Formats: sequence, structure tokens, C-alpha cells
Amino acid sequence: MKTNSKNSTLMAWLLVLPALLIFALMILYPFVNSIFTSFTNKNLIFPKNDFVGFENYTKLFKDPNTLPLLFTTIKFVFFSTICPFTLGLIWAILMNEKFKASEFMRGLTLVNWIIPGIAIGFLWNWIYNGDYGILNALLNKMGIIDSNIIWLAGKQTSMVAVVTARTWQMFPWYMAFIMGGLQGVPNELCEASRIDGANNIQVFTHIIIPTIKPVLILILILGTISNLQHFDLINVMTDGGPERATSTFAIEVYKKAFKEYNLGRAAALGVIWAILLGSFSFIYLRNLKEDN
Amino acid sequence: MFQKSLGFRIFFWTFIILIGFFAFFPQLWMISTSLKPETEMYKISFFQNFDLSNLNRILHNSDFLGYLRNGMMVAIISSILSTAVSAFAGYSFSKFRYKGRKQVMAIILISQAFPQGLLLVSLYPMLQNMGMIDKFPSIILAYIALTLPIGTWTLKAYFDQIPNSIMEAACIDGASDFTTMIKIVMPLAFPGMTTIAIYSFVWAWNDLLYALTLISTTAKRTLASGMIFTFTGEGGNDWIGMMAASVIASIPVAIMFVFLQRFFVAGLTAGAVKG
Amino acid sequence: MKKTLIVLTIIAFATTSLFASGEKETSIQEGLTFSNWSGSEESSKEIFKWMIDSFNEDQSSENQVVQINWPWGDTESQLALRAQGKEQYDIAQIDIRMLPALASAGVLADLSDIFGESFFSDNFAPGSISVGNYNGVQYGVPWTVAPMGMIVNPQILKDSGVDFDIVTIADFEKAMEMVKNNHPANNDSDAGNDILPFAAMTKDGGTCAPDFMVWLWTFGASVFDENGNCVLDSEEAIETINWFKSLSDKGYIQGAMGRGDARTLYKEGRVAFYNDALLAKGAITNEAFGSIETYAKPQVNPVLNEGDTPKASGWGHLLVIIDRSPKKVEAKAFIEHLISEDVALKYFDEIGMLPSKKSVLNSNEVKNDYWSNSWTPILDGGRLAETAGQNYSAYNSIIVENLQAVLSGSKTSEKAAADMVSRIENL
Repeated sequence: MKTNSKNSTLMAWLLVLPALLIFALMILYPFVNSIFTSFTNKNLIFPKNDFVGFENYTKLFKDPNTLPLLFTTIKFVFFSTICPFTLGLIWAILMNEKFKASEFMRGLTLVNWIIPGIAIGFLWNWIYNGDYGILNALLNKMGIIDSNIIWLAGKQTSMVAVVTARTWQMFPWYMAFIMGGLQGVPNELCEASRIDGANNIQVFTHIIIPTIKPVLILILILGTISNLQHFDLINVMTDGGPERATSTFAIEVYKKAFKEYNLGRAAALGVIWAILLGSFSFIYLRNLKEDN
Repeated sequence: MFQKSLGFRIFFWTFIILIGFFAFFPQLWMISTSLKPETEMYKISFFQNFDLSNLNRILHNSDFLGYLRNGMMVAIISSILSTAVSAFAGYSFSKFRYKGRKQVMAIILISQAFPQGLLLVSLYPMLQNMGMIDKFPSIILAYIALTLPIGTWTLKAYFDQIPNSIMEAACIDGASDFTTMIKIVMPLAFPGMTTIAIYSFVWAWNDLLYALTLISTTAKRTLASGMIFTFTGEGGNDWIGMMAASVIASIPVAIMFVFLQRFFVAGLTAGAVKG
Repeated sequence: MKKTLIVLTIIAFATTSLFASGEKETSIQEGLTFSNWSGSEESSKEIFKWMIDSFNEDQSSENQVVQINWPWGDTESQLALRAQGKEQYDIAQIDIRMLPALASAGVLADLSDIFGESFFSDNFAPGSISVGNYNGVQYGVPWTVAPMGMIVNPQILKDSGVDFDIVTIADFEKAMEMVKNNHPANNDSDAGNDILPFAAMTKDGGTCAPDFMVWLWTFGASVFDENGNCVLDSEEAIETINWFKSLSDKGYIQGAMGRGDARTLYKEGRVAFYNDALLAKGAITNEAFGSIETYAKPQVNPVLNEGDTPKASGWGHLLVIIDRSPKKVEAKAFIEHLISEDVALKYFDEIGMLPSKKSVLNSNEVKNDYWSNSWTPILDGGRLAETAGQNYSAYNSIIVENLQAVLSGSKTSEKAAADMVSRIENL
């Protein structure tokens, strides 16, 4: 640990400086600017910029869609974090078995993560399409359905479709993290507890899970954040519909700003979001045990 | 790690089939679609009638190849810069103790929470005033900024793992703070840095929103926004072309992954696991 | 925490004001910029390149036209952003639905100053001129103007036993019923070849709301009355919503249908009716079915009572000049080049975009073409989507969400209509 000598403090700040400058320029300034914008009627295409007080906020609180927006976001973020997490965990355990094709399969799975989001959106739209989609064709062949189901038209099913696509895209990422964690689990510990008579499930819950817990928490947090920001799959697949069933905060802010041009309202929504999330992050930070 | 009991075998085979199908079937579907003749585009068929014309068409589309090249270039540059900036900051947070450190860390993390689409609204006029619209540095800067928080936090955790005794030893040998960092500590953190490099790479590679807004010349488009251009539009959408393009675009990155995945998997969490 | 926050804010402003405050002079510009979306789309890429190259051949180096491409969906916002900035910007292709918003944002130049008063009346039909006019000011040169028609697959109708012309809503419903019940493909066990009678838009605001307005007008309703009050809860409007709901209940129309899906299905021969613009030809052409006459016939929308004027949603592309462009004369020359006979006919030949200039429109080449000819009866009835303007997207979203709620049964037509009105008025 470096002591507080003047030189090393200077060095410390110099190291943070590039990060801080980029951060200040590209995130902090726009963020602060957005807070100001939320009190104006600023518009993307009309040259107006008047102070309107809390109007944007009161309109949002009166809007019957604001509260459902929160629930939809929570629903989307919850399922599209938990589903790929679970699949990623199972897949990591399987891939950790070191069978012949494991390395190849692991690499192949990661490909999902690098296909551009819009292409994934179109791919899954194609699979889910009610008329020419492969899912209906498959179910039809197997005799499960005899008329087509319009998956993307249902409120529940469209959410399922979006979450599936997101799961497919992201579970390899969770897998990779968890695999990294599994490699850190000392085998002797597993052997030792097995000698004590533990079965696979007990080894898993008593040895493996506690060891990789920091990783699991880390990826759950990173996953939650990225799903909160997630935009392109929903935009391509459902456009937030039907009946706003897949409209999340990220989609709504984008629409308000870039489709409805209402920057003031979009900023207000963004500020509400930041306050909600900020308090969530704050709680996390307070509980974060740091320092050795 | 697990005993190969009957229960485990059942578990293994059930999920290898189920998840394997879920993971690989859409990939196969994508490849099979890109190999279909256009007339059979919407027929439910699988690897019948091979037709390379779609792949061929994309490979001869000089605009698309340009998007691919730009996308690759932007992603690689942002990835390297983002890793460097995050590593410096992470090192500072991990190995130094100074006033304001915790606060700066907290603010950097919380900034992740603000909707990225909205930041763009204020960024646009600012960059416009700086004369940086339609220039690669502006999106690269944005990608660094957006991947910085996760990069800094992950690498900080990683540096925490590296015992201070190593640095102290180097100091005694007369190395300066900076040399110690570059020559001794950074190489030890290489797997962790690979992780962040890949993370930033994919972020930039996949980004649509920033690239679409901040770049306006066709010749400067990157992959995702270029795909929007080439395959969707008022006059109709070219799904089959998009699938073929995705297959082609994935190949270079997939090859890169095969080489880097060892580092990646090992590096992802080594920092975070400390029991 | 508080202290750091203040410090950081100061840093943020200091850094940015360093860069942001320096007002850059608009430099003397080289060339002309032409923003468009068609120039990046696969089907029109080549012809756009040719149009520009053929102009540049005869121009000095400072008047060479350079393209800026935006995706179709982002054109309006990108255009406004760029027009209010400082970079060079001269000419743009816009959709007629973008005109009200862009014109009221004040970024477009008044063209009668640049082209002269008689230019428009000499060259274009009154219907086309009015499309480029907003509040009495001429902002746009009509490039291709043709309202959206009802595209019908005669083969499917024949196979379903429809032997009458579709004139009224009653005919239309009868035909949809016959397709649904009589067509052989709808009577086998394979759901993978089912034919949808009418691929009405039901997915997103940008397509569903303007298309639905046509039915509102057909039933005598409208979104706004002449004073600008939202009247979506009128008796006629509710009747329209009920009618639309009944189509859905009977399985004639389907949820989650976007324009792209409708075109795909149509191309595969699995849709009997759908609404689209003239430029859809390329997207629905399917050589497996033979020549286009056999499987696609554009016609007017059905009317409520025989003798009513058919309604249609206005559609078209305009050419505009950006108000702050210092090169308006050069911009005018380029626009004249684009609508000149040679260029317009080649544009028409290659991708079927109908010219607007009277002289070109009357050329034999255009008159003898099946596709553009079938469009002639549709040309008169177009009306711009009522929601076009500053709140286009917001209004459309409100309409679509509530329509979807009616189709799914979660709202009654009356409730949905009342909700539309209250949300539109309290936006």
C-alpha cells in the first residue's frame, strides 16, 4: 500500500486524470446538462428552450403510462438477467467437464454475443413470426398447434420473445464469467468434502457456490445494468409494443427524445430513472466490503 | 469437480441437449438462411440447395466491406484505449489511498445508471461545437466513456489481487512508481486487461445508437449502423442479406475469440474471486 | 460526497466550455451536400449514384454534389439536427409526412423565392404542388407523389371464388370472408401456407396510425376537427374502431403486422389485400408467380357507400433546400437536374418511381407502364396523415397503443377512444 506521500498522491491523480477527463466530458457534462434540460421545453427539432419549471415532471406523474413503464422495465430486466444467468451457470458447469468438444462448443457459444444486436433481433423475429416463423412450423409439424400463434402480438408472448432473444444473446457472456470462477474453485476442497460424504448437490451448494459467489454477484450487477440500458433488440423486435407491453425506460427515453423530439420530457424521465437507479447503486456501494 | 454419478449424467445430457439446441439451432438457422437461394427464403428448409450467391453478393458489396473495416478499426482502437485508461484508473484506485478516491469511484459507477440515449442529446451539440461530428474520435471517445466504469471497477478488483509486496520489492530495487506499474504489475494483470479489451471491443462492435447519430458519412459508418443502411429501408428489408452479412461479420471476430478465449475466461473473474 | 460532486461538476463545465464555447466560423464551402435515404438503399443505390455523377460531370469543383445518407427512419431528426448546426448543408430528400414538422421548425427555404412563382404551376399538377406546400409557403419540389393504394392479389381472389369488383366496404368484407373460408390453402391441415385476407398494419405507430386514418376518413370520422380538437371519440370514429375490431375477431387481419412482414407475406402469395405505396413493387415482385399483373393489382380503397370518393393516405418524396444554405442557386440547378426528363425517366425505368413533372408524367413510357398506370385512379384522393407535424410520433403511438388494446380485448372501443382523446389533448 502506498503511503500518502505527496509524490504518490500526484501520481495517483495523474493516473485517474485521463479517465476523469473523458468521463467529465462524455458522461458528467451531458448528465448535468440533462438535469437542466428536464426543466425546459427543449425540443430536438424546434429551436425553443424555455424554462417550464416542474411541468415535465408533473406531466410524467400524471401520465397513466409512467407507472406501468416501471413495472415493464423491472419485468424485462429481472427475466433477461435471471434467464441467461441460469442458463450460463448450467452451461458453464457442463463446459467445465472438459469433454472432447467442450473447448470448441464454448467458443461457438460465444459467437452469439458478437452478432450485432439488430441482426439478432431480425433472426428471432423470423423464428417467432406468426406466419412464416420456424417456431410455429415446428409446433405445427409436431402436432402441438393446428393454427398459427401470433407470438409478437400477445402482451405476454411478446415479452417472452424479447427475453428469449436477449437470453440467447447474453448467456454465453455469463457462461464465460462463471467458467472463470469455476476455474478458481480448488479441487482438493471438493474432494475433501466428498470424502466427508457430500454428494454432488452438497458440493455444489456448500463449496462451489460460496467460492464463486463474488463472481455471481458481479455478473448479476453488470447484467442488470446492461439490461436497464438495453435498447436494440426490443426496438427491432416489438418497438415497445403491443400495448406498450415491452416498453422499457430505455426505449421510452429514446422514443421521447429521438422520435417525439421532446427533449425536456425525455430528460425528466431520465432524471427519474437516474434517481431510482442511483439509490439502488448507493445501497450496493454501502454494502460493498472493500479494502484488504 | 463433480462425481460422474447417474444423476449427474442425466443432468449433463438433458441440458447439453436442451441448451445446446437453444444455443446452436438459431446459429445454424442463420447460416442455412444465408446459403439459401432467394426464392426459398421463407420456406422452412434446412441446408438444402446450397447457393453461395448471397454470401458472394455481400462479399462484393464494397460499402459493406467498408463498414466492416471501419467497425473493426473503431472497435480495436476503442478497446485498446479503453483498456489503457481503465487500467490506469483502476491501478490508482487499487494501489493508492488519497482523499476523494472513494467518491470518484462511486460517481463513476453510478454514472452507468443514466440512460445512454439521453446523454447523446447533450453530446451532439457539444461535439458539433467542437467540430467533431462525423469524425471517428467522437465515437471512440464515447465508447471509452461508456465502457470505462465497468473497466475501471473490474481492473481495480484485479489489481487488488496482486500483492503489494511485489511492488515494494520493485521499489527497493530502485524502480520508479511508473516503471513498477508498467513493467511489473500490468503484465501480471494481463488476463484481466484482455477481458476488458474484449468487453470494450464487443461494446463498440455492437453499438448502433451512437454510431448512427454521430457519424453521417456513408464511408465512415461502422458495422451495426451500416447494416441498418444496407438491409433495411423504405423500399423493403433484405433479411437474407442481413443474415449473410452477420455470418460474414462474425467470422473474423469468432476467430479472434478462439485465440483469446483462454485469457478471456481466465481473466474475467480471477480478480473478483478471492474467497 | 457532496463536495466531490461540486468539484466534478466544475471540472465538467470547465472542460466542456473549453471546447464548446469556441464558435466556429462556417468556412467557405466546397461542393453541395444532398442528404437522402434512398441513396443508401440497395434498390436505389446505383441510380442515385448515377443521378449525382451525371450532374457533377458538368460542374466546377466547388459545386460537386456530395451525398449524406441517413436511414429512412431517422431522416427527420437527423435533418433537423444537422440543419440547426454549423456544418454545410444544402439539399435534402424528405417524405411528405416530415414536411409539417420541418417547415414549422424553420429549417427549410421558401422555394417560390428561389424557383420563381410560375415554376410550380408550369410544371406540376395542383395536387402535387399542394403536397410541398405548408401554410401557404412552398417548401418542397414534388419528386414522386402518389398516395398509397390497396394492392390486391387477383389470383387469390379468383381461387377463393371472388368474382365481383371490390367497391364498397361490404364488398371488401365479403371478399375477405371468402378468402378466409374458401381458399384451398386455408382448408388444409398445413398452417404454414394459410392466406391472410388483409395484412392491415397493427404493429408500430409509423405505419399503423396513418393507415388506420384512411378507414377513419372512409367512415366519415377524423382525428382532428377543423379547430384542431381531437375528435377520435366521435360516433363515426367508434364505428371505425368497432369495424377494425370485427376484422380482427373474424381473423381477417392479424396482430404484430408491420409493413415489412406484410410485403414478405404478399410476395410469398399469402396475402389477398394490403396497403402500400408505389415503391413497394420491388419488394413484392416474385418471379415464380409470373408477370406482376397476375398477382398484384393496385386499386383504390373501398368506400362506405357506392359513389363516395375513395380515401387514401398521402405518400411521396419531396426535394427541399435548407434555409441557411449559401448556395441556393446551385441547389436549384441540382434539383432541376433531378426532375429533368432524362433523369426522371431513368429513375422511373429502373425502380418505378413515378415522375411528378407534368411533361414527364405524360410521356408514353410512363403511360404504357402497367404498374404506374394502375396507380392513376389512386393519384387524386391522397390526404396527408392528420397527425403529421410536431407530435407525429407521439400521436401515432397513442393511436396504435389504444387500437392494439381494442384488438386484444383489454379495452372497449369507447374506452379506447376516450383514452386517445384525453392523452392527445394532455400531451
